[in-house]
Amino acid sequence: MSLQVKAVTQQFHGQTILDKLDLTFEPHTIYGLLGRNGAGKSTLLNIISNRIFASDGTVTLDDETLVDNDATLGRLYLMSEVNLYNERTKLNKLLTTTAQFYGDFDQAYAVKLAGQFDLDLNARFGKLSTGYRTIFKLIVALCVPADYIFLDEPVLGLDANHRELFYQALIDTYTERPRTFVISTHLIEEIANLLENVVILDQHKIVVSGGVPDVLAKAYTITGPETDVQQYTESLNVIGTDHLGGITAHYVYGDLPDDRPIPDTVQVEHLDLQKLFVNLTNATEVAHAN
Amino acid sequence: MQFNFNSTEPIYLQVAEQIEEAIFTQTFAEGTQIPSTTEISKEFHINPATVLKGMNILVDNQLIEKRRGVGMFVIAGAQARVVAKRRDQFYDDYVKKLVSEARKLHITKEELAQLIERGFATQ
Amino acid sequence: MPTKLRTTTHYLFTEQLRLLGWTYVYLIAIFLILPFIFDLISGNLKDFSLTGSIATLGLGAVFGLFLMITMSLTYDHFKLFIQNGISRKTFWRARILSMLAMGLVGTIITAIYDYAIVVPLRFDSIAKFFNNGNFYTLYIHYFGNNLAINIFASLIMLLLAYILLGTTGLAFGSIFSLLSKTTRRLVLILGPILGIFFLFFIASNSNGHSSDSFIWLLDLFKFLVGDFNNAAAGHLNPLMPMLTMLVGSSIMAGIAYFFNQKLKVKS
Repeated sequence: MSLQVKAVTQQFHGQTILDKLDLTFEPHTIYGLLGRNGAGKSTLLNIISNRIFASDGTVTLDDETLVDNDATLGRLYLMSEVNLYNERTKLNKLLTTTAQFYGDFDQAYAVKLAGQFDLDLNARFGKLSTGYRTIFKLIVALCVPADYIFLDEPVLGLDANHRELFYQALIDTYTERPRTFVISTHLIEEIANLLENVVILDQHKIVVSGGVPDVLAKAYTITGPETDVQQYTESLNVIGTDHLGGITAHYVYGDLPDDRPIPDTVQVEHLDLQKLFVNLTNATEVAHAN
Repeated sequence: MQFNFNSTEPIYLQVAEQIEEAIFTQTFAEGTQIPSTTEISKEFHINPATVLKGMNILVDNQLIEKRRGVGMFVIAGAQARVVAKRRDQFYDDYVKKLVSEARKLHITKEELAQLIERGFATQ
Repeated sequence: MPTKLRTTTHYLFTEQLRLLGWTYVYLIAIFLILPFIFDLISGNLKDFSLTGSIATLGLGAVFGLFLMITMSLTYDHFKLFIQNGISRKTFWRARILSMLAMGLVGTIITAIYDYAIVVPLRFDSIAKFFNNGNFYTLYIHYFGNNLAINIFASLIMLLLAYILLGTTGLAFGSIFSLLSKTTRRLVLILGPILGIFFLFFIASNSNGHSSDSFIWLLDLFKFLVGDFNNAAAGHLNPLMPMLTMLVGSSIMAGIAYFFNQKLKVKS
């Protein structure tokens, strides 16, 4: 029982966009799919949902292919940045159409959410602002009966109040009916605590994949005088550095050695997800994650 | 309830600590119901599984109990249990740090004792 | 029929019916109401003939064009369906089914229009209708003079023609939706120009020279429409064009399937 991405590679005009990705999405889990612009997140999501074809590799849902398969495709929903709805169609009609194809669509909840977000369901999709297009697509995503919901940029154009509403609705519907959500966003701080698992994509590869507590347990900031810090982090996986006056901070991803005493002058703290992400994916740093 | 989350400790531990603190200060009085997993989850944008993990620590420590179909309640005697635990940890949490800092500042044992006397006298 | 195929077919079919309704509304507005208003304003109302206008609306031909164009609409539907978890295969099947159903609808509409409106208004009898400019004129004597059989055969032929037009639209639409915007424009502009040149080329070459190299094309065409050994008009074999259209439709449907399977979302 899981959605599996195996050795998925995507090449376009001789450029590698995804390089042999292996990933598993378990049921009933909230994932964060993080990556900088151009890292290949949307491409990966488009391949998973069979909107485009991978150059190589397979994607399966409970061991059944997702390529050209109604049974598996109907169990996932991708809310993408690209709008696939006809601009002239009214939102009400789009909801009805979605309900026809997915069956069991939670129409009542959709209407309730539309009310909370002040979304006029009689409007045409093309007449909506960026924020309200996002809101409409979010509402559909939260109401379809699919087991795997992929949200690509779910808060694009949303103000702080609407984002708050979305996070609450997400938790509400997730508690009510646990299913897998894969959230791809740049606002990492806002969702960090919502995630159970995290996948970080950088330079077309997966650099981190695992439970958020486990990942963060291996992410450290080592602060102190430069020489002491350098001595301590020698041969460790340093993913970034900061300097402020005479104080140096090294960011380390990986287990700290048990046999190396921590100097009194040096402080060891944990990194948060956003800081870890920024350091892991900084193009100027040569980052190698274990 | 007021949660102050920092970034350096796993969230589930912080959830447990914050609820324990509320029991200690009797914000959550014994015998009363505490907010549900979903309520805490929604308020602070924390994964429900994470909140539950934190709550389970408190269940294991016999501070709260689950009443089927109703929710989580503070057990009678929970506050005393928190007090006992914190007394146990007082030496490790405060005294050790106090002495270590005093040494750095060259404060003698006698001077430190005097300071403690003063603290008790003024507060 | 699987639920998703039924839902998708139903969606496409109702969508096409709605569009057909609008097409006929516009048709009537442009060719019936506008001329009437024009004649009214210019004071030539006595020139306006309601029955004449109705009888020359050409609903059957319009339907053929309509079916070809609506069947070619691909990408907008594909987007909606892939967003809703419908596979390409189901999309193709649903389009074929919807096209067949629409073909039937079109045949019925055309039959009613021809026999209930055009014949009484413009021809005295069905026999005269068949003998004057109807495509079935070429085949009218093949099955003898039984009117019912001839009406039935002409309708089957019409249905097959619609299906051929529909599958042609389907194939071209599928190919077009794979092209980039620029390529598509290029093809749309260059295609007709090259086509016209080609026609001129054939016409100028075959003019008067029966031994010309393009004669085989003409012979092939004659064969396909059932004109064996230069049969007299009215005695052509109608089964042959039926077969031609059936084979043509199958080829078009196959081409459509091939390209339909390659459809992808453009970012």
